[in-house]
Amino acid sequence: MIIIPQSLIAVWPDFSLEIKNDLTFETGCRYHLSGPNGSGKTSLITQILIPKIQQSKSYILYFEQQMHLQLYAIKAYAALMHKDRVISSEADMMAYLFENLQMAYSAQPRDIYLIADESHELQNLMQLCDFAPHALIFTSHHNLLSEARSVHFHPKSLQCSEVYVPD
Amino acid sequence: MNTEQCYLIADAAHPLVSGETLQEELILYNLQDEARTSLYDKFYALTGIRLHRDYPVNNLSGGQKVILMAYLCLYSPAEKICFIDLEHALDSDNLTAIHNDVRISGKAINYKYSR
Repeated sequence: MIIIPQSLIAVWPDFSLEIKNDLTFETGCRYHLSGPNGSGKTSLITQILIPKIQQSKSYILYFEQQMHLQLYAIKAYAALMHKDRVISSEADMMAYLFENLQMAYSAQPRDIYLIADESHELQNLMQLCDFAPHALIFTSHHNLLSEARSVHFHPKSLQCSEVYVPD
Repeated sequence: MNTEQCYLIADAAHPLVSGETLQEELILYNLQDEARTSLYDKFYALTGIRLHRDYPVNNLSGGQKVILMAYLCLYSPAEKICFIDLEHALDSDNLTAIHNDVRISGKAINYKYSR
């Protein structure tokens, strides 16, 4: 389980997130990070959440918002590590990453956190990870999964957003 | 090449070309002084962020990059624009604003969706 305690966190020199409630992320649950453009959703993911998950030694798959650079990096990695494997699309990349994750999980089970920043592929992600319980944390401007727990971002100013779990 | 059949392609999955300063995007989209001022004013109205030609565009959020892409297109000389997945990364207020500005732009706009 990952907990981000109630606090004021300077995520960038000129931008802070005011965490109004303790935020808890646990396997078996889905979390929808919502809020307007520029309210700090991606900053929470990259500057707070991912470092905490890394400290916990859990498995993590993070799909960036504009994924093309990630795609090139994983293509290059696959070309070095698995020469027969051709990766030509985001779907190929996801399949490759989940195959690697499944092998690692089989050898050493740990908590799994999937993070998808504005992904088109949420349903696909959940299907690809059906071999193990996992937490899915996603940002979206649309309500894609009705059962997901909501974490909302509200900009107080350009320099600070509130983050809270709505009632 | 028959330019009447050419669209400026704007894909929200790849919103910016350079990833460095705004100046490079302004040159690529061929925005002149008046168009640049309109772009800066519009972007400030929507996001509260003051752009300038040396602004590091990688400091913008993912959605803000898509807003910038949309207005670079709308203020460019291109007469035909094809937006791909424009709606995906934008909140409802920004999407409404862009759709309103598309309507009054007088440009031929095509929307495509990758999924």
